[in-house]
Amino acid sequence: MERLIKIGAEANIYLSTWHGLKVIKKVRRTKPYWREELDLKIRRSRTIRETYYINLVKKFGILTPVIYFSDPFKGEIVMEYIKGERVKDVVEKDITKSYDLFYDIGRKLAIMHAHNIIHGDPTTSNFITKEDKLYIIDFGLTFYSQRIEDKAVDLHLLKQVIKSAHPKYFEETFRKVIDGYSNVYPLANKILENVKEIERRGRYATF
Amino acid sequence: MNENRLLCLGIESTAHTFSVAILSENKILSNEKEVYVPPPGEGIHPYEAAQHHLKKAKKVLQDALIKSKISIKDVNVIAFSAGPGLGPCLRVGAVVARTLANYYNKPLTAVNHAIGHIELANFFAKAKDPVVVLVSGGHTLVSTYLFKKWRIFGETLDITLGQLFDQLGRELGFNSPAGKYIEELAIKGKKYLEMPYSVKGNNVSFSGLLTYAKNLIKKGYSKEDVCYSVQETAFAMLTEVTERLLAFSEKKEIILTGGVAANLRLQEMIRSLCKVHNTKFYVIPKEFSGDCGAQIALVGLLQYKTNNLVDIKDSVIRQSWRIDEVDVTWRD
Repeated sequence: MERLIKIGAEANIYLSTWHGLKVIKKVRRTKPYWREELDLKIRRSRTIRETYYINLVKKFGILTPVIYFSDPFKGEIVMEYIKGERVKDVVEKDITKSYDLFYDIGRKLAIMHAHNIIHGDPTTSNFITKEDKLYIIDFGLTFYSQRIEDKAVDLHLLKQVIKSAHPKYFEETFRKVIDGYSNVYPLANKILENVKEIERRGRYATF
Repeated sequence: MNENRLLCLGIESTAHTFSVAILSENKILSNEKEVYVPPPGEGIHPYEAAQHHLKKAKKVLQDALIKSKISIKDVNVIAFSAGPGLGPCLRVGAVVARTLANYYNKPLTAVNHAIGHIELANFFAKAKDPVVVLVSGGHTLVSTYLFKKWRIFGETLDITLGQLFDQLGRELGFNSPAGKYIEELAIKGKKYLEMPYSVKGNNVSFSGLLTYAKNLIKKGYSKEDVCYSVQETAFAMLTEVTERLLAFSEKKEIILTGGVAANLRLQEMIRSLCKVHNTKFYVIPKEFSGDCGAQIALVGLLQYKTNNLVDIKDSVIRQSWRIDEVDVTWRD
């Protein structure tokens, strides 16, 4: 028994069963706009990355789904079903609660960055909260880097998403992210400087 | 003449194009333009483009008025492209607009050029709540509307698609805008050459792709294959970013607009998203995809109706002006 619950940007998400467990099956679709070679290459490498980094970051105390099975050639991952709420939805419903979540998001990103792991896609739909705990998902674009610039790009992405998707709460929520981030990561100031630099490089930026 | 309709005269003058359009609330009555063409292998020279616009302004204005059969006295508002764009070019349009507004005692309104691309596309599409893909020489971004602003979800971190094609075109000896020449060569391309593919979250970066492609040309690779591969790679990156916004925002319409929207391969790629995500696809008609007065006149009219006007003394140009800085007074 399998049910399609979400058509994501690159994968279809199914609610499925695995040896009696209720699980999520993430299947990366063939993209009609990618050439065949590119399509195979990208889907395979992102499946491998995701499996690898979801497991790796657990060692730093970051909550991610448990991986049960991964097939890079089919672009499939079977993982734990986290029955929670996306931070994207929490913001619009309960802003006080989401302040704590954003603080935690900042902390968790900092922990990853301190270990030179760049999430690559920190949008508010990739953070899930369940029983007041924060889970991070979608590690398909995650990579290893020591560069300040790459860490800054990661933060810039999150900033951009909050600003565009939750403009009403942008100031407060992003400040929480920075608070959490600076709290655990000594290099925070340097990276935040670099975020500003990235913004200055943007098209038609005025500063 | 006591017509019961509102009329706007819009002046576009941000880069290559000097254009004047006259628009009523539901019809484009005229849309005349003159385009500055730099010598082959060269890009736009701001001063020379401005000189071109100065020389052509009178003729374009006259043509627009004659074609629309409207007397300037009956126009309700004068709109001009206040930015973003090249300073010298913007100033020509602004001066013409201020002069008309002052002499004929008409209200003046300052329009953001990129918002013009978006609203003009939607003038034809009539979408309710779309994801907008804006691709031109000045912009490469994906946006949705929320709380009085067009919000930028993803954009280029360096050069735009238009610049990518223009600069590659320059290497090949074409004059700007070179998009159509690149497209023609790309159609003849057979072999896909692997290129740097750079998507960072919701953003794209084309500068590495440009350098790589220029080097292949210098090494003597087939022009056709390089153009084909550049298009395939750059458009795939943009389509991926569009798909990401589509999935994140859960919206059901896509509008493709801006000069590069005329590219058929790009249209095909963006359209391929629609089946998967069950969305409607709209693209701006080809004759209005490039810079034109109609985009300025349309937004000018919308701003006039919501009393979003500017005094002549405050009618400054803004070379840098992001769409998420514009207060959208005409949408809920």
